[in-house]
Amino acid sequence: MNISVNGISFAYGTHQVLENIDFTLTPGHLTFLLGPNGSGKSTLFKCMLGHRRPQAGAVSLDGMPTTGMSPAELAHRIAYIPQISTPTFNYTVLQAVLMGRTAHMKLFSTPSAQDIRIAYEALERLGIRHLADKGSNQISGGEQQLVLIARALAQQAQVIIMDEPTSSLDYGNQLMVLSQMKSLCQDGKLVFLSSHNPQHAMAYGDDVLVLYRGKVWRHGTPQEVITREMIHQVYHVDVAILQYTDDAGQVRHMVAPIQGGR
Amino acid sequence: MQNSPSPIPSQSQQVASGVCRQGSRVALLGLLFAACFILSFSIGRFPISPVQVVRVLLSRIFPLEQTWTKQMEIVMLNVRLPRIIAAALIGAALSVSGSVYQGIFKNPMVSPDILGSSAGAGFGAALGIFIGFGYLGISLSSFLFGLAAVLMACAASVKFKENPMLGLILAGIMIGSLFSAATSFLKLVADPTNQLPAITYWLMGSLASIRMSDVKLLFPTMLLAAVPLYLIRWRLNLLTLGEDEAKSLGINTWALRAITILCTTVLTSASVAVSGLIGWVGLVIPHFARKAVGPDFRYQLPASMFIGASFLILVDDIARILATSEVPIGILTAFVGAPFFLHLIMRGGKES
Repeated sequence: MNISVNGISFAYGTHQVLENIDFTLTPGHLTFLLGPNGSGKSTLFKCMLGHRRPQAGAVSLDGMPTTGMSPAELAHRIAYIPQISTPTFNYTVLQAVLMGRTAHMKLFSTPSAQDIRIAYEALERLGIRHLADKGSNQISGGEQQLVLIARALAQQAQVIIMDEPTSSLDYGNQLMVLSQMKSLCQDGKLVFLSSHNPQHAMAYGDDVLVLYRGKVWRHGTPQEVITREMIHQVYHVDVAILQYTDDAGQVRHMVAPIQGGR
Repeated sequence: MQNSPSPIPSQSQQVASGVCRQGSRVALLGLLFAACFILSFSIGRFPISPVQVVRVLLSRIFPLEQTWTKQMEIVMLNVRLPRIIAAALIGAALSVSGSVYQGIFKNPMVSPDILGSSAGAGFGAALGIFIGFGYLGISLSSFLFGLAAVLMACAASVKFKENPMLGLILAGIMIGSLFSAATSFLKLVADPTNQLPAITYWLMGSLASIRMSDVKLLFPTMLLAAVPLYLIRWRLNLLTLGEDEAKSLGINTWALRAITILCTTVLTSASVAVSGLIGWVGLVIPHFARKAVGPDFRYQLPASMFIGASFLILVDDIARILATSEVPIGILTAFVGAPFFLHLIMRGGKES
């Protein structure tokens, strides 16, 4: 399922946040959304998820505009993974994942045996089935992020939108979560995630989209988009792009900060 | 993804164990409630043994040989029965409202009067007494003002576009204090020999004047409000998440909240309308319910209902026997509730 953003403009009052945003994402691709604070990343997500209605333009899935879709219809197609936050109430991991099934249930229904099976499969897929009966505040930050991903899998939507999934994770968990997302894309999902780390986009992204001052600044492969010039213009810092050969003999690129390069 | 040879049976076993654990705890709480309900018939100035209580109750269904006096039967069925049923209904209603409010406001320190329903209902009752309404008129006025207070809070909160829940709480607190001020004003101008004591005593909360006719009004009203809440019990869980998160899981958060607030307001206002202000139950009982069965509303709602009903029945038993004249139940619930709340604050409001 393709997701297209066609000429979206959005303003909070007189403050123009997004201006004529236009792009299409395709299944099987992990796309990183880069951009400095305040560049409109969250607003773009809100528009794509239908939480904000843009003043101009539309979002469409396989050419079908999302404006007429009910929350449940939209949830069948797009899953959203928020940044992890400490939950107020201590739901078990299984209960949290089952919440992803809600769009598939009737209004007055509770999770069926089938829903529970699908939730377990999602946990299994991410290797955290053993956590099913644990409380959400008894598990680590990395595990909490995996639970939210499992919930999105249980939702069975083709498109997954993720808001800075690595922001509160330690280094190991950051890479673990990103490689899980990468492997979901290899299974045919479309993942669009925002990040503040160009190196993550370089290492894991199939595509990179840079949002700057409310416009799409660049959109292309990591090698095309993540350059010294782009980083300098957008983040006002100097970096070097290094090349190295990994253990498999493949040439890879790396974003390296230059000290005192500001 | 390594599948074990037979993943399905082990899955269903796990599921079954989880469901059974919480389900059996809810059943246990139901038994506790039944025990409180029956034993409370023996408590009071006129002694009736529990065995006699069971016999009298069973005699309504099965033909039993009468081993009790007519007087016992009158005390049990005409004096104690309406009061016990009312205590159970009000305890359950306040606790269920509290559970739901703490969930949808994502805050375990919230009580069901946060949107001003109790303050509104209190004012309605005071106004009824002031004007000189009869008992039914006072209850009706109380109920309607309780509803009106929350509707006003909701209407005022529409202006808060960015954070509707914060707007609702702020508006609720403002409307609530307006109604409290209006109640104080009524007390000031009320006739100090008859009306003022009536208003004051009514505001303290008591089940002493409950009659069967109240129960006959209370029961269907509460049923009407509780059934929708029970039907959407699974979706209530999603309202405890962030706004965007809940929406993207496919629920209509606005409609769901509106239904929820309407139903809980009916529950609280109906309670206040017959019993006066009984505080703390809606704040404290949900914590016990979550401790017993966890936050999932599929179990939390019935658990809250049973614990709240049992709790208020027991507190009302104490109110009946503690002193020669009745102690208003609102005072007793505060004696239990306030120390518990303090305990919560000292633990940082975190749930275990």
